[in-house]
Amino acid sequence: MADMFSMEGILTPEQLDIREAVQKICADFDDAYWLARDNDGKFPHDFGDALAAGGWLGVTMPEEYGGSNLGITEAAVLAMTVGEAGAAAAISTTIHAVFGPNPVLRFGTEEQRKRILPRIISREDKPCFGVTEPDAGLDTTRIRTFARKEGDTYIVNGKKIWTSTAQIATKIMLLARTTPIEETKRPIDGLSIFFTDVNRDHMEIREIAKMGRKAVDSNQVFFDNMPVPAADLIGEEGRGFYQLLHSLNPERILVAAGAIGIARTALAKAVQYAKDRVVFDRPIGKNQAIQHPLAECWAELEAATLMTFKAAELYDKDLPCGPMANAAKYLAAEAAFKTCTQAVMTHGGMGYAKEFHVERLLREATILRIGPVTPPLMLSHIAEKVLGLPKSY
Amino acid sequence: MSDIFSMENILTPEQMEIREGVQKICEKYDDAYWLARDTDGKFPHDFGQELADAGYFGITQPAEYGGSDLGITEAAILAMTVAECGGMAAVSTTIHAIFGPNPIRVFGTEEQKARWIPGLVSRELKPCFGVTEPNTGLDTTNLKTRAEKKGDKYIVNGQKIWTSTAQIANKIMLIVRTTPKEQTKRPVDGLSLFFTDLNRDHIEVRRIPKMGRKAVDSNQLFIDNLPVPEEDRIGEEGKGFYYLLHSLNPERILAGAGTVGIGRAAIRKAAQYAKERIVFDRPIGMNQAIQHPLADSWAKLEAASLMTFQASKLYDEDKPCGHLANAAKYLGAEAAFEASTRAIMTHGGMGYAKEFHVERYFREAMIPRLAPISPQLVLSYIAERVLGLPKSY
Repeated sequence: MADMFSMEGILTPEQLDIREAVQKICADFDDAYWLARDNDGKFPHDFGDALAAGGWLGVTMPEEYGGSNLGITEAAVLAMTVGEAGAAAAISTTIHAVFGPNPVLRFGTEEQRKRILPRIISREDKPCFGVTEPDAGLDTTRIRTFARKEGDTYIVNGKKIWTSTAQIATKIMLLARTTPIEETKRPIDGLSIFFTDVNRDHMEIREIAKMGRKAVDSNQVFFDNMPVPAADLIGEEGRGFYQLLHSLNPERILVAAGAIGIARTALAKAVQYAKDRVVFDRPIGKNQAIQHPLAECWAELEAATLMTFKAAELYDKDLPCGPMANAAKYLAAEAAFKTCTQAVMTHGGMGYAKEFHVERLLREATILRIGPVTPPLMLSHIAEKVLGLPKSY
Repeated sequence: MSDIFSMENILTPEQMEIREGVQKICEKYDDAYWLARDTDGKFPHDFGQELADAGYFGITQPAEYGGSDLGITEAAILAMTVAECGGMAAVSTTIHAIFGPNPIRVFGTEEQKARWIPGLVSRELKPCFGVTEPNTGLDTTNLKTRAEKKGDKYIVNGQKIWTSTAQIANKIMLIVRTTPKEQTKRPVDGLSLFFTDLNRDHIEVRRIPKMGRKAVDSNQLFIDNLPVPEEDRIGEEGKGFYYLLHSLNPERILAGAGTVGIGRAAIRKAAQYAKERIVFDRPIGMNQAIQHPLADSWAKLEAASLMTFQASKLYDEDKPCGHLANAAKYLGAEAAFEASTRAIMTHGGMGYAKEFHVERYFREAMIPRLAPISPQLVLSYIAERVLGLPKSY
């Protein structure tokens, strides 16, 4: 597989070293491990701990907090390599820790950074993200979870959905309204970010049974008069949405990288099967109807890879990267879904059996098409911001 | 529900009555029932038995044995309608009793028909279909399971795979080689067809965990010195493949009908969600990016439906129907997979939750893409037999 997807012309030698080091860790967590996790739904803590022990959760964090001070490019290498090893379950075991605390880094006080970041890097604290709500959906500014200030505490009421890892998390990065939307000039004002304890006395966390990625829980979360110390407010009250914007592009880049990783492993499995499976006296891979779709998938994945690393490069250089990050996530996720589907089809009947792993990869690739943002909204973003076409909704 | 996919100008009034009769039974087996079966994997016996008690398992069987003496067209209506209610799990609870034993109706002796057909109609006999083998896959005539004549019995040894319902079946329609391939003129010669007891003393049935349709088991079969009486052979020794075609073409027609049904179920749910889900102050279905793919799927599913009924019409009129049956299965399966994918995407995050059912349809819609024959072989068949192009493999 290394030959099929050699990154030698794309990554620097140091970045290739990172890839190799992560691959070494992943080698202890094989297909059988991830299939077992998909069956029993147990959180892959041992995998998370192995990556944390290698320092990988702090790849983008400053050294003073225990990080490696590298860029989103290196984080993307991590996400992609982890995706290759164990698909979305592997990615979601760790990725929230890598980019999620970004607002703390950028807008938090020194006291907060010292208090919060080292514990995330070591995995002593496990963060989850409470942003999306069932009613507001992708219309984020319409969220209704409210944090009412009372002295030096905020009292939080509301609900979140699709909060990954909340079953095992110790901390939550929470987006809540602190000013009612009617009292703001624009809907993007009046939102605030908190980084606070997962307080199970005031948070009801209900796991959602889903199509795939059973090992990493997704949840509905209900907040009932949850007290949050004012010291847990990140940055300025009311400026939360603006602060969050800084995380959106890295998130898209890392999701794109992860999607590529999943797809690569699916493609490698399909190619191997196409070589090994002999029917009508020849390997099925000798047939154009089998090999050409796989070749097409390879080309689309490579193109998406280049987009992803270009977007990462722009981000790391502090250059505008929004359209490229969105396009990378869009192209990577679509290509990954197509590749995983083709991998199942290439395996024939065996593609339907859990034993051959590709159906699991397809179920997991589906998440990355939907989250964190759906194709129609990404395309609208590109149509409006890049093509200058009028807003359609 | 009947409005989006009204069949009023496609079916005769009598056929519409059959559809309505099936729909009435299906109303009692709602989404919650099928979700529960997909979760617990219990065979939907109550559903199957209720359909059998109402006569639907005998829809194509002669009246003298308790059947309705109707055609594969009416069986296709049954398959499509149950699929609209319960996806492929519902389809596979029923169609194996119809297409599998079909050669009995066409080629069986009066003694055999009297012996078996009443039991098939009442569901006392539960047949599975042993054709595919792990080593030979879609190269059917190359199958290796062997039957040696010893006195008035055949002794059968070999393996089958993807034998649906074998966990609960008591009969098996088995195709085996009785004359070695080297001794025959053409590869289709020398195969024989048997309808015999699923004798678990000589047949080991191993369930295969799979991507979807958990309620209806798929299995590997290991056949070890299975004794099969001569009276269980259908027609002449060595001509089995010719008889099997009367399973294979109906299977494609009924699978095609089932797949249209599951595609319809997906589009119905997607359209309903698109009406109800309000984001950015409007139903998401107001967006072209949401509604156009659904409309496209509607068109493709309707076209596949017409193909299916044209194929069934030809079969019922004893006309050659292989190319149309294959094409109908192919178009239906591709359209249904696309429709169920779009249904997930239309639901956004909720599309990933089991609670909304569409991810279950997606997992089940993959089956008829792969089975009973892959798209590549359907296309080769059409290319050779219809377009007259040279065989490519």
